[in-house]
Parts: sequence; structure tokens; C-alpha cells
Amino acid sequence: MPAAERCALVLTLCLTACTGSIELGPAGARGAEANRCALPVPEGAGRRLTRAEIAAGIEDALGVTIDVGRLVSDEVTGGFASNAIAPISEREIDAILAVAEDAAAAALDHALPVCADDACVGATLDAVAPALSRRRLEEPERAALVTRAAAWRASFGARDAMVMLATSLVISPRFLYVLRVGTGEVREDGAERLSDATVAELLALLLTGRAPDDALLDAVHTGTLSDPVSRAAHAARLAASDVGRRHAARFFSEWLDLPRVRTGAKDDVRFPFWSPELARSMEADGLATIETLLAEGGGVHELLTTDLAFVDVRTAPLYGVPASDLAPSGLTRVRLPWRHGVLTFPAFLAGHANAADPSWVQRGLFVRQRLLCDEIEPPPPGIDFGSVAPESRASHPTCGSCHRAMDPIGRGLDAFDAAGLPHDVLARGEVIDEDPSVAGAFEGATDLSDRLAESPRVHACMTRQAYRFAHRRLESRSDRCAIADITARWRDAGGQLDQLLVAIAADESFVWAESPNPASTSEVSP
Amino acid sequence: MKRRSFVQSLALGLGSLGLASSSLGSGPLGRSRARADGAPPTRFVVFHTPSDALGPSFYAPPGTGDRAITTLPAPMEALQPFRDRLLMFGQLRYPHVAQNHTAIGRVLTCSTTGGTWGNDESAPLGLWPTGPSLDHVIGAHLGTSPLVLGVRTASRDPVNRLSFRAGGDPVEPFDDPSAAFATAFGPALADAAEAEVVRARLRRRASVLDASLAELGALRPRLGATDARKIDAHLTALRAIEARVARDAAGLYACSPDPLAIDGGFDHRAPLWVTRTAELSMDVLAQALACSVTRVATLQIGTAGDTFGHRPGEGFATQVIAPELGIDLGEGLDEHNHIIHEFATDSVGEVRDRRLQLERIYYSLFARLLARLDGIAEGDGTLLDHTVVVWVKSLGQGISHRADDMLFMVAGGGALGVRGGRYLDRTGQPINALYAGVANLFGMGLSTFGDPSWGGVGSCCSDPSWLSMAPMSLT
Repeated sequence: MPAAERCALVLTLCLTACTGSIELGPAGARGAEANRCALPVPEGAGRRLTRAEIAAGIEDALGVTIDVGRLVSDEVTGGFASNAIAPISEREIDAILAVAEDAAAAALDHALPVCADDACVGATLDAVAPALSRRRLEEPERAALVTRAAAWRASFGARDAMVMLATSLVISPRFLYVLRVGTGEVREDGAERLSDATVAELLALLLTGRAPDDALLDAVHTGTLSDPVSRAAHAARLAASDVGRRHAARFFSEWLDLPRVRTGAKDDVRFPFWSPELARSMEADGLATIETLLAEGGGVHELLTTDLAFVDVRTAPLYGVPASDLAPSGLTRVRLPWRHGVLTFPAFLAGHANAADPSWVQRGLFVRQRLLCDEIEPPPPGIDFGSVAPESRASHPTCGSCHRAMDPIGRGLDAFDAAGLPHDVLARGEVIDEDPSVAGAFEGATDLSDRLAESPRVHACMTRQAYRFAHRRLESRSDRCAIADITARWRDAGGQLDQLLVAIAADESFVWAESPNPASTSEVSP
Repeated sequence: MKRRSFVQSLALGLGSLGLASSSLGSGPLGRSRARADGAPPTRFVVFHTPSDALGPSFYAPPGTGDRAITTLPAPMEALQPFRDRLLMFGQLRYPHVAQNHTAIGRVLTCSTTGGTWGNDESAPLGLWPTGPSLDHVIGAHLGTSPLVLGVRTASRDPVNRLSFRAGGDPVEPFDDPSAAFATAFGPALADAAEAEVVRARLRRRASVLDASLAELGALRPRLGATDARKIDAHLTALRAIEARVARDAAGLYACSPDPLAIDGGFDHRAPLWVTRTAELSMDVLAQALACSVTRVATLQIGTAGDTFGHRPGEGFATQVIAPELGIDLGEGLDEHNHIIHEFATDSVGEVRDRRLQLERIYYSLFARLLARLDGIAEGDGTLLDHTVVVWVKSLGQGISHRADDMLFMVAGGGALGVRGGRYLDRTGQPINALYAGVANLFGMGLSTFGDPSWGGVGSCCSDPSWLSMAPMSLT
């Protein structure tokens, strides 16, 4: 095939894909295929902790807050921190080691007593190790650690020995890796049931980003986590906690890419008020709003339509809130006439904009990829972007297919400038789509958000995004039935945002994995 | 550069900085170490900047076909002292495809990357490339691990990583020259008392690492294949750190490099210090090669995105380019990205001036690297004579990043037979043929370079025959 024809063929496929969506299949239709569909974890899904999880573990164990900026940044997959593909590097270990040594030294005489005998070391391990190992130590390994600490005490002295002990727990693979351990119960399709200890670990990381609490560890002891009702109850309990809500908000923040507001450039002529502090305040507004929706039982509808906002001294004048309405410090809860869900969060809008102007592409692409789970191909090669005006892209013979999917949506958000702030401008947009539940012209962010809030596709897409966050990887075909089931169960249970991760944890797919090692039938021992 | 303590054939085992097991001779300041047979070792260096030059009308010398470099355009004037040791490969291509900024993973690996924007469920490596990069391929052949340095290389993301040990295994560059220096040559110690404190800490660290190695070793047999591979990588990294810690604790060094001249207020993360960070990284790189800490090094300046500064008035453009150019960038657009994107071949006025000035800075940095290598005497020549330096770029021209007339350069390597002073018109030929030619300078005997699927599946508009194209000759 001549190169030109080949190119044309690929391009055609590309353009066809621009407006496609991924079918998940009928919700709940697992039936006879349940086992095949429930096989969720491809080979290689074992991952390392994210920076936030490392920081949380150290904080819980040693009572020391670390600067995550000292750790090597996370690998991102599907929009969420994953650390699932690239192996750990020498530089990462260097960084973790240095942070661990400093945290352990800072914890001395506090969470980390200076022990002169084995009994004290053992008691310290009982207090410290579960937050790092994400389980209770078994007696042989506890004894081995006590012996090791004694040897260090003899060689280096009691203070250094305790620092070394804590450091060794932080750089342990038990802490740094989410290792899947099977029970030996293998299905016909090769999937292996995960051990209760692994399920507890996965459950706690999913719902809180931290180690299992005592109640979960007790459940491991009593062997109740394979029961979906028990598992769901623990998941709901964790989701309802403060730490659970903060962690769920992290999912929504990563989904919206709210931190991006802190790194984008802004034109200092048009936006002389812009500052890093303002960007942080906008991000805090978004996070606080989401946490409040989680706490108050909001669902996807509220997420896309809420008029709730949280302002401070920086955002209040820009949001149109009188200074007299502000609390003396911190964030003040307000309702704003122009606020209508996440698509009107200034942190989202400013993060999805250029330095001076709003970006139809960035905002439209978000709606397509992260709310509707459509695939949008990147631009084909050799396009001279400078020759195509934004207004002409949708009708351009090469660019049009994809830009028709993005630009009219982005245009409908033009009432919000590149700093994410509203203006009294009529912005008309359009969703060009075969699906009548979202297709059609709309007037501004409110109209668009109302339309999306009612779309089943948005609910299904939200599950997919949460599934990526939960498993820290892109979903595969074998996940689709599980995702459809979770979507249905979440919807049937009321569709509250705080129940989304719970629904994932309760699904049977959560406790089965492609066998990490068919020969392995028991717990990993040290 | 002075010798600190002679360590014959000491396997420092620095992992990413494995010492070549050559017999090290001592040398005076400014002279590198030679092998026992007197012949300096051969080395390989990769230099990266984000965007390509401005098209052949800008960079090609007068004439047609292969020709001598008789003159260099004004922005390249810093390279004038090295004109006869430069090989320019004009109008090369690489399969930039439609992935734009993610192409940085392809540029040194000549391999595919999975999916499009990372949403392809069939791509187990996501957007990471599927093969090792040229620095690691040559490093493996030479028995050394590359030292990978970076200037504002940002987060671990497929648009930001250039060097790969293997498919899906990106190397985290040292973006802090001081950290790179300490890793290569040991911690800076003010006096004997500080040395004892630091060494005591290192002895404790060695013992902790020992325990961790034992724990990993016990765990490994119980894991599935993929998880075991990850633990293997962890073990390898731990052993490298352990060896480095042992070296530092014992105070055993191959040589004593000149300390880095860190300026007051220096911050490698700040856009203002971009060029200074690059210079300090070059100091580490040159001395690491001269001391035989490694034989391969990569200096990645920037990424395939805009990492030189964002905020108005604080960025690389305002603080570095504008003052040198004597212009006001105006409109608050202080983005490296903006300067690249707004330029087209027919651009005029300030748009063209800004882009040319950016290019001038890159040429100047390349010249400083060459000068740094050339300033170290070695054998009958200099370190540059025994080092093949390749300059690669991860993005093509303008906002489309069109990658069909890229300029790649090779410098130095006279002792390896590189015949400089020439512009070689290689219109439409792929970079993997160049890379195979470079690798063959080190006796690798390659017929091609890269992933066989590169240029084929998923590579719209590239030519599968590229992989069968003969390696380019540099001699």
C-alpha cells in the first residue's frame, strides 16, 4: 500500500474514533459470564505507593509531616497517580531513604521512644509498624525486628538504633509496594481469590489512602472480608470518616485536575491580580466544595449543579462576595448566583485555559474524555496549526472531526475567562453527539451542566474514572462487566458521591485477581 | 582535578553511575585519567534541547548535497571554535506521528509508545516507549551505566523523560547538580570532623540497606513474574546505593573533582537559573567522564513541554531571553512554549527575533558543553576528541512541531574516527540510521537501531523501510 493511502486509511480511522464512545455493555449483565467478566487485574498490576500514600503512612506511624516535594514525582496513568508501570529507581530510593531518616530522627522521643531493651522495642513496633506494614506483625517477624534492633543498639547506640529501625520499616517493600497475595483458591478462568490481609490493605488504601485501621485488621483476623456485606460495611464506615472524605475528594480533584491551576501561566496584563496564592485559594474552594458535597450526600447531579462555594480573602472580591460576609479566617461557605457545578469552578476553568484566553480545546476535551469517556485522538501530523483559525477548525477537512466534538462545548464556557472568573457574556455552545441525552445546543455552563447531570453516560463514565483511581491503572476489556455492575449498584443505591468508591470495594471483582503466581498458595512470609 | 585516592579497578557500582572497570591513572588538574594501556577510554554524550532549529534555510551552509561547513549562521556563532569538529545532519526525520509532546520518549529510543493520550487500554506501558534509549544501549555495550542529568525536567511523565533503561523504565534525571555531584563523587565534606559525622551516618545507612536487601531477597521467590521484575529492579537499585554508600563511608574515590561553583541564591528549580544549572550539570558531566565514573552521560535540557517558567515575569523568557535580546516580551506571555509556537518559517520581526535568540542560547549551551570537554587534556588530545556528542531535539518546528527537516549534530569523537566540518544532507532519512552509525563508532556493528514496530504499526505517515536503512557513516 502506498504511503499516502496508508496515511489516509489511518487518518480515516482516527477521525472515526474522534466522536466514538466506549460501550460498557448493559449494566448488571454479568450472568453466565460473571467469572470471566470479574477477572479484573492484568499481570503487572502490583504498584508502589504514591507520594501522598507514603506521606500518610509516615505521618500515621511517626507523627511527622513530610514534604512530598522531596520525593520523586508519581507516574500518572489515565489521569491518576499510579506508579504501576515504571520500576522504582535509585533516585527514588535515595529520596525515600533521606525522608525516612529525617522523619525517624524527628520522631525520636515522641512517637519513637529511645528504647534500651527489647520489650520497649517490641511495644514500639506494635504501635508503629501497622501504619507502615498495613497489617499487624506476625510473631516471627516481630521477633526478627526486635533482634535486629538489638544488634543495631549494640553497634550504634539506642538512639541511632531506633532511627534505623523506623527507617528500615519505611524503605521496606512491605510499605512501598501493594503486593497482592492470593489464598490459593483459583477459579476456572485462573483468577485467584485475594487473601483477607490483601483485601484489607486494598480497601484501606482505596477509601482512605492509608493503612487499615484496627477494625479492618480485626476483620482480617476473623476472616470476614470475603463477605461482600461485611466488606461494604467497612468501606462505608471508612468513606464516612473525615479521612475517607478527604481521600475521596482527592479522587475528584485528580479527576478535575484542580492542581493544574497552580502551574498554568496567566497574562499579567489581563490578570494583574493573579498570584500563586490566588491559585491555591481557588483550588481550596474546589476541594472544600467537593468535600462538603461528599459529607452532605450529594450525587453527580449536585456535583454538576451546586451553587456552593468556599471563599477567602483572596477569592471573595473576585467571586463578588462582600468582605463583610467573610469569616475572620479560613474559608467561608457561600452560595453564588453564577456557580453551577464543577464546570464553573474557577480552579477548573483557569486550569483548562491558556495564559490570556479560555481554551475551547482544553475545556471541550475535558468534557469529552473525563465526563463522557469519549476517545479523542491527538492531531494528525503535519498540520500547520497556525494556518487554521479557532473559528474555522470545526469545518476544516482534517481537523474538523475532532474539533467539532470539542470546540462547540468549550465555546459554551466562554463566559468564564482564562482566570476562571465569570463575565456577563452570553456563551452559546453545542454538544454534537449521537446520544440525544446530551446532544444539542446549550446556553452557557448552567445549561450544559444540567444536561450532563441527567446523562447516564456521565454516571457510567464517573464509575470508569473512579475505577482507574481505585486500581491505579487503565481498565481493560475484562473490566467492563465489573464497571457496568458497579455503575448499576451505585445508581440503585442512590448514586451518592461518597458511595462510588464503596461500590467498587463491594464488588466481587475487588477480591479476585489474575493469579499473581499460580504456584503461590500461601501468605508471603518474611 | 586532583586525585583523592587511587582505586584500581574499583567497582564503585554506582548503578546509574557504574564505574568502568579500567585501570585508572592519576592526572593533574585539567587532565583526565587514562587506561593502563595509555589510551583514553571512548565516551558517549547526549545533549537534548526541546525544539528543533528553524529549518534548513536557517541552518544549512551554502551549496547542495554533502558539503563542508564553511560558515555558520549568526545564532550559531558560539560553535565557531568547533566548526571543524561538527557533523551536521540536515533534514532528518523521526516518527513524530500525532503524539506531539509524547514524542520525547521516541527520540532516543526509536520505539513506539502505547496509545494516544494514554487512554489506550491495550497499551500496557501507557505512553512510555517500548525500548531502551541510545545512551543505555551504548552504555550496556561499554559496560557502564549512563549518568543522566536534567535541567527543569519536571515530573515523571511521558512528555518529560528522554532516557530509558528499557521499555517502560524511564531514568529519573538529576536536576540538582549538587545531588549529581555528591552521587558521582561523594558528599562534600568541610573538614575531618564533618567527615566522621557523615561517615558514621553512612555506616548506619549501609546496615539499614543490608536489612532491606535481605528482606527483598526473601520476598522475591514468592512473587509472580511481573511483580518479581519490579522487585529485581528494586534490588538492583538498592545494591547500587549500597555500593555507593560503602564507597562514601570508606572515603574511596577514583579522583577528586573540582568542586562546583555554586552561586549565592542558586536554585536549580528557578527559571532564572536555567542556564547556570546547565553549566553546573556540564561540570559534573565532564568530570564524571574524565574520572571514569561513567563513560556515557546524557544532559536533558527541558522537556517536550514548557518547563522553563510559567508565571509572568518569573520565567526563562523574561529573565534570560528578554534581557539578552534587549526586548520587552510584552503581553505578559512569558512562556518558552509561546516562543516556539508562535514561530513559523516566514515569521518576521520580534516573533523571529525571539525564536532566534532562544536558538542562540541553545547553541551557546552546546558550545559550552563542547568547550568544557575540550578543556580537559587527554592522551594526545582532549576529552572531546574521545567523546562522541550527539545533540537531539524532541519537538519539531512551530506549533505543529513538524519533524521532517530536523537538524541533528554530532560533535567531537575525532579519536573514534568522526570526520567533522561537514554538513550531510540527509533529507527524509530517519534518525535511527544516524543512531546505528553512532553506535558503530563504539564497535557495536549494528545494522539498525530501535524497535522493529517503530515506523510501522501506529505510525501514521512514517516509512517502515526506515529500519532497513543502512547506518549512516560518520567517518
